Amino acid sequence: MSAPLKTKLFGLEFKNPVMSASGTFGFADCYCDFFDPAIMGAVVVKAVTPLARAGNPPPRICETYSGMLNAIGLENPGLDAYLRDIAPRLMGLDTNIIVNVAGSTIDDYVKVATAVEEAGAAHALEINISCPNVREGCLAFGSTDKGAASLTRAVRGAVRLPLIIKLSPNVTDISSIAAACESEGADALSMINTLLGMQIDIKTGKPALANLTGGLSGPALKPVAVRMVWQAAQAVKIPIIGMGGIKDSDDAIEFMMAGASAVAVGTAQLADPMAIPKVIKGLEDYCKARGMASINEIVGAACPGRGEN
Amino acid sequence: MEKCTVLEMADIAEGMKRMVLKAPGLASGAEPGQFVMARTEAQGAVLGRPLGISGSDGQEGTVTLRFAAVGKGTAWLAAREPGDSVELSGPLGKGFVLRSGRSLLIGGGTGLAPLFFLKQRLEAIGGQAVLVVGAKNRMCLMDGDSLPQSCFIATEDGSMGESGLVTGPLERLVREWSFDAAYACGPVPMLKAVKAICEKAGIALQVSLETKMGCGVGACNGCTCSEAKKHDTWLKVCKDGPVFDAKEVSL
Repeated sequence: MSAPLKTKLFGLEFKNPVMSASGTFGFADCYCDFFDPAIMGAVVVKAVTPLARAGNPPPRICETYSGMLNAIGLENPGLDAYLRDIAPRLMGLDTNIIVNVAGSTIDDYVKVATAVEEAGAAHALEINISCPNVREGCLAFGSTDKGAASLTRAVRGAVRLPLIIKLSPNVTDISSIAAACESEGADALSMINTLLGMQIDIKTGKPALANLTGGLSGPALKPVAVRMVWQAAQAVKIPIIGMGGIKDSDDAIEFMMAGASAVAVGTAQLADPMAIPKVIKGLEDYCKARGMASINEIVGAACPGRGEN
Repeated sequence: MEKCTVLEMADIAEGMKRMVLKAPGLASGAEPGQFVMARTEAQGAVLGRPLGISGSDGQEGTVTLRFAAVGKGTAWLAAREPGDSVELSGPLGKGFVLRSGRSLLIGGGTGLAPLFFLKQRLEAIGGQAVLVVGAKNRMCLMDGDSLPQSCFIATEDGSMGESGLVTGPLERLVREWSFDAAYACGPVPMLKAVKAICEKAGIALQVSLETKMGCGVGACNGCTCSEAKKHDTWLKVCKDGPVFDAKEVSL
């Protein structure tokens, strides 16, 4: 473990500020042949909903220029299976476990969050108000200040675990949504989820995905994500976990300079099973080369509101 | 992820290549039916490309891939030359369950790729493997030079072997001989027809499915396909497959 990468956020200690992005790392069971998931600051697992979800029909993914579209549709085994079959193994890992919580109604979110807290099945919760691929819930809460605020308030009222609200880029004013979550008691923000997109197969004249639209991720998304993190960082005081197209430590550094206190890697990990260890190593080397005592020194460097605090 | 050096590149049909790589790590554990995810540096490409392992020599530490250049990723791979490096991760997925005795290996188009490897391994355990191959035409027949004399070939235009679909020779074979197992890889309509024939003849069939993949390791749940669904759950072609018992899939 490298001392300069140690990070403390919402009362939890992190070995480093690097995490998996929800939905790209399964339940930490897919990449064990490549590296030990406990090397990460936190494992952010797939979304958990009250009941099992089969997800959307195929095709669910397609590659786009410097990115990909997905419309998985929150496929997961459901809350009971998570608590019974998955959480015991995850909680045995020597790192933080962050459960991504999703649902169709406020009650769904409260139900999952409460049950996970009672079972001691996570160290923090990431509240998913930004999945663009399901018909109900999620983005319906994440696209307005009011929706984000009411959901944050309800979950905050039900649990004491740190609450990270995962924001959508499919909004007009990210700063006001970020501020609404903060004022209702969110401990942190994850940003950004995927950007709603579409690809049409010109041979068939039909959308490439069965769901018609999907969420864009990968390097193509990065400038949008950096901009939104930078804007939100000036609107709130709570920490931001930055994500959206991070493929190496240079990208991670860019997000931190924009105001993120930690980062998550998603699509790049799908493409390269060693992407996350490489990002961690790159950040260690960066601190070493500059004699930095903490990676924290660069957080908000491009963002006067935070950088000069 | 293993950084592998390309040892040989050969043109084996129109738009198809055979690539032999030095890949000791992969070669030591590869089983027929498994695949690799190949990273490409094609402009704008993000995801790896899943390619069936078409041969593996543990002693030499080499792996053979046979594939068609169908998009920018595979075109980039097809443009590699001996001495170049390609990053591969694998072997991934569940391969064929090998049965001794007499087997039918049915391949259509690029679906022939894993069957070269399967045939070699079946023969190594003392089995007899009868290869039945279908292609659009002579130009599209994958690696015809590496096919054994004994193999049965059908082309849609009759430019090589007999005229028609792979089901022609297959139906004749199951009528005249008995087989202990069958293995098929190819387009879904071919798999459907092969399954019907094998069911009727009472031959246990394993099929290898092909689909677009994100990660290749079961993390993204992107590789579901309409043929592979168990009860209400979509199977992951990358991890639950790509080889399935034909009874498990809806063809």
